[in-house]
Amino acid sequence: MPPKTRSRHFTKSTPKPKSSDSTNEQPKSNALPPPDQNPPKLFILPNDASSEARIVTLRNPATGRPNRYYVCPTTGRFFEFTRIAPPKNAWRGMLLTPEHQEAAVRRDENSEGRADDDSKEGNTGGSDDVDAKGQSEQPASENEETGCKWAGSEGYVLSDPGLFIATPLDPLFLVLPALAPKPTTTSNGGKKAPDKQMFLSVDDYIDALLDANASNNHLKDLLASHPGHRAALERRISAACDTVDAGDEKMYRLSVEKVVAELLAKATRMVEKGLPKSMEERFVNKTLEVPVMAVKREGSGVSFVGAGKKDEGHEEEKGEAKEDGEESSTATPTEDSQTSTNEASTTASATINASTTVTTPASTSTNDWPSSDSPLTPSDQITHLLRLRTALSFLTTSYLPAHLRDAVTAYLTTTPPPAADFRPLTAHLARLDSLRAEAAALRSLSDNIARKRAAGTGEDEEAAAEREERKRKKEEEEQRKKAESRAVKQLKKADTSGMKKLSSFFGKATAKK
Amino acid sequence: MLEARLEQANLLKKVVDSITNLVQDCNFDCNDSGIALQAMDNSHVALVAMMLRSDAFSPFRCDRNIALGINLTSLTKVLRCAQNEDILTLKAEDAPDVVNLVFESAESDRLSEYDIKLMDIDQEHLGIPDTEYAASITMPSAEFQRITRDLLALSESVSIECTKEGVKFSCQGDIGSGSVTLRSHTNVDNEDRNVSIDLSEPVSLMFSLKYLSNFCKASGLSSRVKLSLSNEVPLLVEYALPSNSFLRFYLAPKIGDED
Repeated sequence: MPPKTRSRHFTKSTPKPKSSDSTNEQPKSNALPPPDQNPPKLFILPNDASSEARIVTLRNPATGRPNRYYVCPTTGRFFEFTRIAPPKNAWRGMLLTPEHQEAAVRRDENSEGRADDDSKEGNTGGSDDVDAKGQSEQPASENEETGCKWAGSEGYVLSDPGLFIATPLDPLFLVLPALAPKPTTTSNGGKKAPDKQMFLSVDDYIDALLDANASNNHLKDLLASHPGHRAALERRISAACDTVDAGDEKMYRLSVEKVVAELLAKATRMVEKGLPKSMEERFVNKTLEVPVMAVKREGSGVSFVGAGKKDEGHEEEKGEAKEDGEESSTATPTEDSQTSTNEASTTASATINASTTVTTPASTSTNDWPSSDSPLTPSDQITHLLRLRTALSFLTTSYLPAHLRDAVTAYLTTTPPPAADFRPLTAHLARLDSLRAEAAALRSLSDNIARKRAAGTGEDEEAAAEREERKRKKEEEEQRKKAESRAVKQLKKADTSGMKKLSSFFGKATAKK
Repeated sequence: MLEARLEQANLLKKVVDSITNLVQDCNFDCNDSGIALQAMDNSHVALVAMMLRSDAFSPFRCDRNIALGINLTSLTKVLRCAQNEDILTLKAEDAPDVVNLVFESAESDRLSEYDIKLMDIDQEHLGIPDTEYAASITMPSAEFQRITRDLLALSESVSIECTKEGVKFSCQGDIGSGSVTLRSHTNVDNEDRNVSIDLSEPVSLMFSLKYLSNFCKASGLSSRVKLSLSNEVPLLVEYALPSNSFLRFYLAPKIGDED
C-alpha cells in the first residue's frame, strides 16, 4: 500500500471534524460499545458521508457473526470496513501529524462530496481501488469527554499501523440472510429451498432482519430514524426477488435467478475494473499456467521461455504473455499474438515478445473456443470466464450466507446464464490438469534440474533448494576443514581418553569473564 | 562502536598465535571492561580464556557489548601483516559485519587497514568458578615449555606430582621413562628464573602432553607461567599479561586411565 499518498490525504482532512461527529453520536446512541482496545484506530471514511453517519453492528451475511458497518443515513449507503495492515515486518507504527487545526476544519467543510465510487463491492480486497476521500481518527479513550486530544498540535504515533477503510457495500447482502432463511426443510438441492418459500412483504423481511440482529438495536434505530433506509432496502430487495402484487402491497420472494443476475453484474463490473493483482495472480494466472512439456525446442522458443520466466509475477498481462509464449513454443501456435494484444492493456513489451515468438505460421483456426487439438492458449474468453468465476466465488464466499451460496453454485452449474457459461472454462481447465499431470510424470523421470526450474512448481523448487542447501553445507564443511590450522588438526589426534569434558567441571553458568 | 588502540600489535599477535593452535574460531566479547575470549578445543577437554582489560589499550572505547566472531586463521593472516611494533587499532560497529584493523607504523607513515568478515559463532560459555587450588607453581615459561617438549618425546601424557619437596613431571613411554623435578628456587640475579611452589596439600594428576605443549605456544607472551592444580579439577595454566590481563588455559586431567 502506498502510505505516502495516504498520508497526504490524511493531513488534508484532519481528524477533528470527523471525530467531532463521532462524539455527537456517542451520547445520542448510547449503544455503541467502546472499542475494545485503547489505542485509537485509523479509519478512512468517505467524506461525503453526513455528520449523522455512524458505525453500527450488524450480522455479517456470510458468517452470521456481528460485524461493524458504517452507515450514512442521509445517503442511505452502507459501508463495510476492510482492515488493511502491512505485513508484520514491514513497518511497525504510524505517525499521525495533523495539520493546523482550523485550516483542516475549513478544508473539510469545503471538500465537496465526490461520490464517484459507487460500485458497491469488488474493491474490498484490493486496496488500490479504494478511493480514500476522508480520514478520521477515533481515539477510543479520549473522544468520550472531548474530541481528539491530540488533534490540536502534537502528532500521534500509532503502534498498530492497520487502517480501516470503509468501502461501499450493497445493502442487499445485508438483507439476504433474511430473504433466504436457513432452509428448515433440509431439501438437498439448494435450489429447492426458495421454492417452498412464501411471498412476504418487505416488513416481514425487515422484521426478520431485525430479529437476526436482535442483539442490539442499531438497525432498528437506524430504520426508525431514517425512513429513506427502508426504501433503499426495499429497492434492493426487489432487485433480488420475484414480486407478487397482493392488493396494494407488494410481496416478495427470493429468486435465486435474480440473485445470480445481481452477482453476475457485480462480478462483471469487478472483472471490468480489473481484479486485484494478488487475486489475478493467484487465481487466474496460476490456474491457466501451461506446464512445459518438451525439453528441446527451436532456438527462439527456448529463448522466449527464459524471457517469459523473467516476466513472471511482475504483471498480470506479462504473466499471460508468458503463457502465450510458452504455448507458442510448445505446440502449434495459433493466434496467440492476437489474443495477447487483446489482453495486453498494458505492458506493450510483453505483447511484442509474445507476438515475435510466433515462429511457425499461424494456423487458421477460428477465433472461438479452440477445438481439442488447438493449443492451450487461454483465449480471451477463457481468461474472462476465469476472472468472472473468481470474482463470483469471491462474492459468494464473502457475502452470501452458506446455504444461499450452495443454491447459487447449484444454479450456476445447472442452468447457467449465457454470460456465465463456465463449461468451456471447465473443459479447458480439465485439459490443463491432465497436461499438468503428464508433465509431472515426465518431470519425475528426468533429473534435468534446469527444466524443473522452468516448470517451476513449488515442490520442485523446494527440492532444489534442499539440494542446494546440502551442497552449500558440504562446501562449508570442507572450507572449515581447510581453514583448520595445522595445530588444531594435530590436536585432534591427541589421546583424550580418560579426560572428561570441561563442561563436567565448569557449569554452564551465564557469564564469567 | 568499538575502538581499541593497542600500542604494540605484538601482544595481540602472540595471543592469537597461541590460541589459534587450540581453536578455529571464537567470539571476542567486547565490553567496557575490555576484550574477553573463551573457547574450547574441538574435543572440549581444554579451554582457553583470555582477558585483555581496557587498561591494556589506549584509548579503549566500547559503547555496548559486542561479540566479534572471528576465524582465528583469518585473524592470524591479517595480523601477520602487522609489524611487531606497529600500533594496532581494532574497530567495529555496534552490529558489525566486519572488524576493522588498522596498523600504524611508528617510524614510517605507513598505515595499513584490513577488514575481517565476522561470523556467527554459537559457543557455549562456561562459568569458571574461582577455585582454591591445592598447589600452584610459578616458574619460567621457558622452563615449562622445555619440560613438555622433552617429555613429549617419550610419551603422550605426563604426571605432575606436587609434594613438599618439589614438583615432579614424569612420564612413561614405549621407549622408557623420564622425569623432571623442580624445587622451589630463588634466583637473586633474575627474578624471572624463580620457581615458587605454593602447596596446601600434595597433588598428583595426569595430563595430555600434547595439550600442554600446545599451551606452551603462549610462552612468548610472558616470562612466567603459573600452574595451578587440585585433585580432580582441571589444571590451570596462566600467563599473566600486562595491565592485569591474562591468558589462561584449562585442561581436564586424565582420570582412571593409566597409560
